Formats: sequence, structure tokens, C-alpha cells
Amino acid sequence: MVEKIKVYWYRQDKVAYVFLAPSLLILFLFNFIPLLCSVGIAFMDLDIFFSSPGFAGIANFAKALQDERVWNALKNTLVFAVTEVPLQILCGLLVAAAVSGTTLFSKTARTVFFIPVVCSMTAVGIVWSLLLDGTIGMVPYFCRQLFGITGLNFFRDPNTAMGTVVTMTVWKNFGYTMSILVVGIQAISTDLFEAARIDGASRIQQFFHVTIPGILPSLGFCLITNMIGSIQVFDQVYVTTQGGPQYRTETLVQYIYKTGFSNPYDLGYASAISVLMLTVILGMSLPVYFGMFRKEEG
Amino acid sequence: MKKKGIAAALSVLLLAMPLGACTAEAPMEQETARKETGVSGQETGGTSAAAQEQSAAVGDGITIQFWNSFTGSDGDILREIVDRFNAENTDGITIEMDIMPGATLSEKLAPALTTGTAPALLLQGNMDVALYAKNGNILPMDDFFEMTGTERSDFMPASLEGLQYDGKQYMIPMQWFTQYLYYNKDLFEAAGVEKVPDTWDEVAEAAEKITDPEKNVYGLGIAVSGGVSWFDSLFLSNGGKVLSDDHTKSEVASQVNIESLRFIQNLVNQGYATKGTTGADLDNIMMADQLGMVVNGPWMVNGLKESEINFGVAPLPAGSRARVGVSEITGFSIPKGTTDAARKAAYQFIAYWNTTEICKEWSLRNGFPPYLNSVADDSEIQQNELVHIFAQIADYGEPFGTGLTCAATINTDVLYPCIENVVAGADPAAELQKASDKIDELLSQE
Repeated sequence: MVEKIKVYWYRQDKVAYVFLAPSLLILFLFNFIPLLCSVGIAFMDLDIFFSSPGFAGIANFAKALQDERVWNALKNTLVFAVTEVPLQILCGLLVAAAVSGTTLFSKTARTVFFIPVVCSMTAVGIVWSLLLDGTIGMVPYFCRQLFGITGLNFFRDPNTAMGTVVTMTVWKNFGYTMSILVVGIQAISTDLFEAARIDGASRIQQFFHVTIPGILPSLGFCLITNMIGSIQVFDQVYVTTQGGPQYRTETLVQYIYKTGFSNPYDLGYASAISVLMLTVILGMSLPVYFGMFRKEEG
Repeated sequence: MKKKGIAAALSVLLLAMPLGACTAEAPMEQETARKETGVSGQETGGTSAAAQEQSAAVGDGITIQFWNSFTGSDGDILREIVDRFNAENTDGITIEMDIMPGATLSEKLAPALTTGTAPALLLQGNMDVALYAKNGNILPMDDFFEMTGTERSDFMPASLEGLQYDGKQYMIPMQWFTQYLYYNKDLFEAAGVEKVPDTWDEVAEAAEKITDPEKNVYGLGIAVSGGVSWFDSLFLSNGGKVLSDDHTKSEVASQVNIESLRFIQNLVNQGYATKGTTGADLDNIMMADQLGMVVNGPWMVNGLKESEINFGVAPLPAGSRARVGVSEITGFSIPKGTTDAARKAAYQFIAYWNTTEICKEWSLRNGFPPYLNSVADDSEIQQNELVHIFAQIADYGEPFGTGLTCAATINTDVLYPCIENVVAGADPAAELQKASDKIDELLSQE
């Protein structure tokens, strides 16, 4: 028996498990176990002080479904996701197509576009808040001085707050999408572009008929990861608007955080909303996953 | 074989390290043996709480953690006083202070209390008393006066009463304050406004004159989140209420309060007051010389001085009934799980703070009104212009939501969103009715 195990583990392909083990262990400890715990807590009447915990059944879920702030937060989260994800991919794709070459200019441009990705969202949020501040911000000042537009207050106006958060997020994150797509574009054989050119295809035709089909797996990856990330949107809202004005930018994670980690410190209710959010994420990302990757496998 | 043995020993050591850490005392108090006692660090490092108490009782040093949210310039003064206490006290007490934003403190404190890793000393607001005392998360401090010899009669009664719950003293005052009207003297002069507004109607008149859209100057700053609860003061000064006298139901949706909000909405609609600004925004606008008036607490003084703004401070304007400002008290509290030794050390610092000398220094340097009679009677305090104005808290300060766990939530999660909607143009009557329903829901959970 021992020999059989030894033979099995000494096989060269099993070495992968050794390399995977640390990541899997961390995932298990810090993602899987908390996930299970939060599902359990969602069925409990439990505050963060652990004072008089009890079984709540589905009461927390029922409360969440009747809570207008949950629905408002869900709506805001979906609005953010369906605007931010396509915009980020579009910007990343266009820029990637333009700077995928190996010239010094392309390399420098890629570095410049990637800089916001490595910046802290907190720092970016503060800088954007100051630049766009209705009273002391540079952008409203120039709009007033140059174009006579007054009353601009991007993060504080209910009509522009979400758009501003989306724009800031796209600006900060599109460099990440660009870098993945650049790798995808560079992996496409130059023969295909050459053949298309010989057949008389224009640059735009090459983009749609060679570049896009060639990077579909990369686009699928970006779509899924960006979508999951955008549904979990939190830090940019926390830094810039705190969910305001009039809850127009309050997202699910923001509301979960507020419910669980500030008064009323209701962990059970916060966990129930988290579980509901998990189902939303799965509901949105699984079809994309099956659509993109199963097709590829087929 | 030898290598395997070393590997095994290292493995056991690696496993033992975190386990050892688990058995160590919580960071709230770390006894440190003083050299002169001859007790080595090794001997005290893993001792029980009881042994630590004993060692502290015989004069060993003790280090306690102190969390607060004094992130402004007042935090520098607080740090200075704490450092002085650390240097001067003869019992080897060291206070390690951790200053963090208020929201961060609340977020960190809750899990720290649950896991027994809370600090030994905290600064909290009077609206936190019921929330933390109700579940026993902070300890009663009725024995403070007897243990430290601090004169109870020196405290103004209201400063102590606001920090009580269920008849017990859960916090000891550190400062108290209400709201005041800050005004920009240069903007007043430029607009030809000579009289500092004494009523809300006069505020409206001055705001109209001061407002200059060309220069982006507003007459009055209206916070729709993250500021002081100026709206409670406005309601009360016009004869309205937020809660019934017995705190069992909401009375916020009254005609008087609707009129008060219409008054604010008109100022915003006419462009005389800011729209959709947070407390932090208003600080920025005030520091940028673009705001005529704003309601805020005493902590604004240092920022305005540093920004070299030519400002003045006046008592909160009076409404149709009276001049009322919600008074708030910051108090020292001791979290549950704090050992007797750490509690004694914390008491010593609280007693040090509540001496005439330190409270006077805090008032003079920060402008906070005195809550000790001995400080209020001091001639230097009485002659200080700012402190004199701030000290009028005794005349018009009124506490809000005493004894309720949801007092702060009513302001931050119900009334501020209501104000925000009204400032954005929503109907005050409908918004106050919505707020009233939410307050009733919160009160029913008390």
C-alpha cells in the first residue's frame, strides 16, 4: 500500500500539487472556511459582540429581501458592473491594440497606462476627490473659468456621482486589462496579420477579424474577473462618496460592511446579504464562464 | 538521522511559536519589569493576570493601550499630555496611545472586545454609553472617585450625568462641547454685514448678503453627512422635538420641524447655502475663505488658526423658542476584560487628566469649555474670549438621546439622509415622516 502511494506521488505530474499546496492552503484557510462560516452565520441572530446568539432560520434572508436599501444597493452594484466592465474592457482593448508593438514608444506607453493600477485606490480616490471638488477642485474651476459652467460637484451630485465613480475606476484599472490583452495580441501569429494584409484587409478589418478572434480567451478571462471585481466594488466608494449622495452609490459590499462592522453590528444580517451577493456573482459569472470556456474546450 | 532530529526539533519549535503566542496575555496590558525590582522580563512575560496585578501593586511598571480618534491638531496636544504623564508618574505606568479615525476605532473595537484584545483605556462619546454598557462591553466606573481621591463635586453634574447608564457611571468626562456658529470676518466685512447673527432669521439675511456666485462664495454651510448634528439643535430651538420625552416614540414629523427644514431648503434653493456638502467639504470651503458661516464644534478653531482665516465664533443662533445646542461629552471608558492592574493604571491617568491644571491647559489650548468648577472659576479661563463663548454650553447645551443605544444611529442613518434628501429638493413633510417611521422602528428594538 505504502509502495503504491509512493509510486503515485513520485510521478512527475504530481509535482504540481506541491507547488499548488501553499496557494490552496491559503485559499482554504482564508476563503473557503470563512465562506462556510458566513453561510452558517447567515442563519443566526448574532451581533459582533457575540451577545445572546441564537438561531434565526431564514429571518435574515426574509429581512434582506424586504429591505429597500438592499435592493437599492443591488441596483447600484449592477449599474456599476454593467457600465464599468464593458468600458474597462473597451478602453483596455483599444489601448492594447494601439500599443501592443515592441517599439520604445509602445513599451513606454504601456508602462504609463499601467501606473494607475499599482497606485492605491485610497490615494487615487483622494486625488480625484480633490480634483473634482465642487468648491476647491481644479476641474470645476477650469470648467467655470473657461466654459462658464457653474455648480459642478461630481461626487456630491446624485446625477453624476455614480458616473464619476465608474470613470475613476475605469481610469485606474484599464491598464490591467490592457496588459492581459497585449499579451494575447502578441501571441497571435504575425502570419495571420500578414495574410490579412495581402488579402487587402484594412487595419480596422484586421482588428475585428484577426485580433478579436485571436484574443477571445483573454477577453473572457478579463470579462469574468472584472465582473466579479466590479460586483465586489467597495474601496473606491468608501473613499470618495461613502455611498452617498442619497445612497446613489451605496453598493452591496458597502452596505454589508456598514451593517456588520458599525452600529447595529449585525453579523447575521450582514452574512445573509453576503450569501445573496454570492448567488448574484455566481448567477452572472457562471454563464459567462460556460459561454466562453466550454465553447473553447468544445 | 541527526538531520532528521534537527528538522523535527525545528518543526516542533515552529508549531510551538504560534501556540505560545496564543497563551500570551492580550495586548491591552503588557507588564514590564522595572530594572530596580530585579524581576527579569522572562519571569513576568508569561505570568497570569493575578501575578501581574501583584507585581503592579508592588510598584512594577505597567504598559496600557489607549485608543482614541483625536486625529486633528488636538491629538498633538493630547499626545503631549500623555507623554508628560508617562514621564512624570512614579508608578511606572506607560500609556501607549493609538490614534485612529472614529469609524476605524468603532470597526476595530467591536472585534477587539469579542476577542479580548481591546485596550485598557478608550475615549468614546456620550452616545456610545448605552450601546456599550448595555451588553457589558465597558465596565462601570463608580469606584473611580473613591479609588483616586478625585473630587466628584468638582464636576459639573451634567458632565457626569450624560455618561451614566442604568444609574451607573460608565465613563468619566474628558471634554464636553456643543455647537457654535463660526463666521468669516473678512467675508462679513466685504458684504457689509456688521452684526453677528443672533437668530436663524438673521443667519438667512447675512447668508443672502455674503453669497457671491461669481467668487463661489456661499453664505451658510449645510452638512448633509459627516458633521455635527446641527439639525437636532435647529429643531429644538424652534420648539420641535426628535423624540418623545420618555424616548419611546418619534416626534420628528411635526409641523414645526417641517417648517424648520423648509427654511433650510429655501436657503439652499436660493443659492445662499451649500448643497450636498459633507462636514469635511465644509471644513475645506471654510479654510479656503469661501464660506460665510458654518455650525461646528470647538475643534475647528485650531484648523482655522493654522489656515490663517480671519474668523469669529458666536453662540448658536436662537430659534423661535430658545437657543439650543445639542451638547456632547467625550469620556474615558474601560473595556470589559481589563485586569484590575490595568484598570488602576487607567484610573491614574484619568485622575491626572481631571486635575485643574490639565483641564485648564486643554481648555486654553483647544478652546473647549470647562466642565470642572475649579477650571470654570479660574480667572485666566474667564478672561479667554474663545473659552468664554464655548463655556455658554452651560446656558444652552441639551443632551440628545441619553440612555438610547440607537442615539447615534438616529442622527447618522436616519436624520442625516433625511436632511440630504431635503437639501436635494425632496418634500420635507414626506422625508420627516419616513424618518419618523425609521426612528420608531429603531426605538422598538431598544
